[in-house]
Amino acid sequence: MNFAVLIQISIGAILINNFVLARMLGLCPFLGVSKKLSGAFGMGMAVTFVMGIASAFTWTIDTFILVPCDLSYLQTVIFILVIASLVQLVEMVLQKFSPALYESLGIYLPLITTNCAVLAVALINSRENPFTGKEFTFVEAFVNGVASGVGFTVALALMAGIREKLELAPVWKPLEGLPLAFISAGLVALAFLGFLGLSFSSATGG
Amino acid sequence: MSEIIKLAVALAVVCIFSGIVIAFSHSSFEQQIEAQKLREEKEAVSQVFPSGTRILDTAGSAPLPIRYWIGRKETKTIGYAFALENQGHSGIIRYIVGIDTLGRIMGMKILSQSETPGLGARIEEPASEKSLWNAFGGGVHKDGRTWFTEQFNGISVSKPLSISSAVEWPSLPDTIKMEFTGSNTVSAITGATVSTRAIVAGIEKTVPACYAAIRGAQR
Amino acid sequence: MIAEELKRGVVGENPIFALALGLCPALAITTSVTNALGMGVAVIFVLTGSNIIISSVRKWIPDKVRIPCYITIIATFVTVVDLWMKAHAPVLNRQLGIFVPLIVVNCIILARAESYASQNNVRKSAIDGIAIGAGFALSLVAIAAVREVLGNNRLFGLTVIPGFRPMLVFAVAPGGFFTVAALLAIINYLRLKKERSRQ
Repeated sequence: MNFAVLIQISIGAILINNFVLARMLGLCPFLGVSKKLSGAFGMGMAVTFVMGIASAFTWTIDTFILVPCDLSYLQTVIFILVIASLVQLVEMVLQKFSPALYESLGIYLPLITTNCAVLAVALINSRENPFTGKEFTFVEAFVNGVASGVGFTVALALMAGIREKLELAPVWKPLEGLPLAFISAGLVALAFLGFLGLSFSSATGG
Repeated sequence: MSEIIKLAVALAVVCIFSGIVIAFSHSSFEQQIEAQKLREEKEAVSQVFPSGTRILDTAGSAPLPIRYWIGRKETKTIGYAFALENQGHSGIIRYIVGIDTLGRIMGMKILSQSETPGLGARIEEPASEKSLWNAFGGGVHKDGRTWFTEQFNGISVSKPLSISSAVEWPSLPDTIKMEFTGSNTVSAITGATVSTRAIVAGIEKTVPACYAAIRGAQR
Repeated sequence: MIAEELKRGVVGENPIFALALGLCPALAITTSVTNALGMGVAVIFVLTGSNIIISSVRKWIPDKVRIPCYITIIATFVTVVDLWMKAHAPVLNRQLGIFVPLIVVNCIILARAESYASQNNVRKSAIDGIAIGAGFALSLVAIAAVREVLGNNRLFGLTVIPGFRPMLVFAVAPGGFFTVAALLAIINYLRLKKERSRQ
């Protein structure tokens, strides 16, 4: 178990290559749900959960069925259908065990299916691991999924906090709403650029 | 019960049609995709040799641990190309370096990198002298050469390389450029020393040994 | 009639600027106009194709499984486009990276399937696909033009202003956010002005 790689993957997914602020994935729910801090956390947790489980399932299918049978071109279809089914499952589980959370997420829960971030992490796990130069192992893929979800939650929570405060501020009309949200996101993304210095490449002593 | 069957059948029919369409597209495009991969690889390797070189892929039959190609003009061997890779700042950099029979670099081609755009990614920056304004008059210059890789031309792999973090190569006067090449120095990309060092280290750890092995095998 | 539909797709119901759909690729791949054009054309193809198919079978798909069916149909088109690109435009395919398979979760396509193609005939759905797709493509190109010129001093890979040192911030992630914010603000400003002058 290579913990160093796992930590590299986690820090990479949460800070350096944050799914929302650096890779710009998962923006639709990002701008839709990030208006209240509590809603943002709930959404983030749900997405993290789905991303973790989806990573596990899609990695297994890819490694044991698609790649050996030379069917990699079916990745897009198979992965998205797996994700859609998983989200349905999560919906049913939440409805039964946590109806409050289910109600507060509303329409955004089934929309996790079309969240680019979930499909993206599944696809990234099936490509080459940039830290080892080889394929992702099961644990690495799972950690990547969960960490990416955590990164998504972090970005969402930051935006929610900012937007809650901005609600009360007087804004020039054309900037109201979405443009202001984008500018705030851009400024947070700019701040996160600083994490680029967190490089782990010790190979060349740099 | 019948509703479940109806739903399942509808879904199954859609999936079957989808499967047929995808399988059909895959088989029609498969050959071209393979051909593209081979063509790209050949093109990449040919870019590190002077034009008109015949390239031999030594795949598998070579005593060296890495992939390498021999370049021949008429019956003379004029150089070798090696496939290198090294961990850069944010991922593995894969590149090909071509050397002549005296161990001097003839060319370098970056195959893949995922470095920071605007910083490390500039190892692939095209030296575009054509601008919008003269492009249509003089034609678009499209040989894919970049200043970062160009500056390695003439560097000897039998001596250690050094990196200068001062001025970037394109802004240097020609006399200093020649001095750099003579003293085996390359200039780093401003703000991307890690990526620069990765490329240099990748060369230093493999090419001198391979070159020596080839020379040794020839004796 | 077609011109009217095009106008609706590009202006009235512009997917990025009016409906706020399809934002992920709008910010991620608009670092160069060539990429934006490539993605735009791919999306037009997938959107129109899936609109046509979904509209043709809309009467036979049971309501309860319609979303998985739509997703499968869209994913099929995306896979075909991906394979075609790998065969005929491998450089573009590599530049767009995972965003080619990600077209399947581009909110625009599923939204159009759900709100238009499932309720209108094939001809109308096809035109809608082309119109909205064109709107998406043009918006992408607009964003990319700003980002490529300001962030890289290039347009289609050719240098624009010799000697101008570009502002890197536009070529990386934050620049995408700022560019879209600015364009949105300009559009809002013009819209508000029109509304005020109408009163």
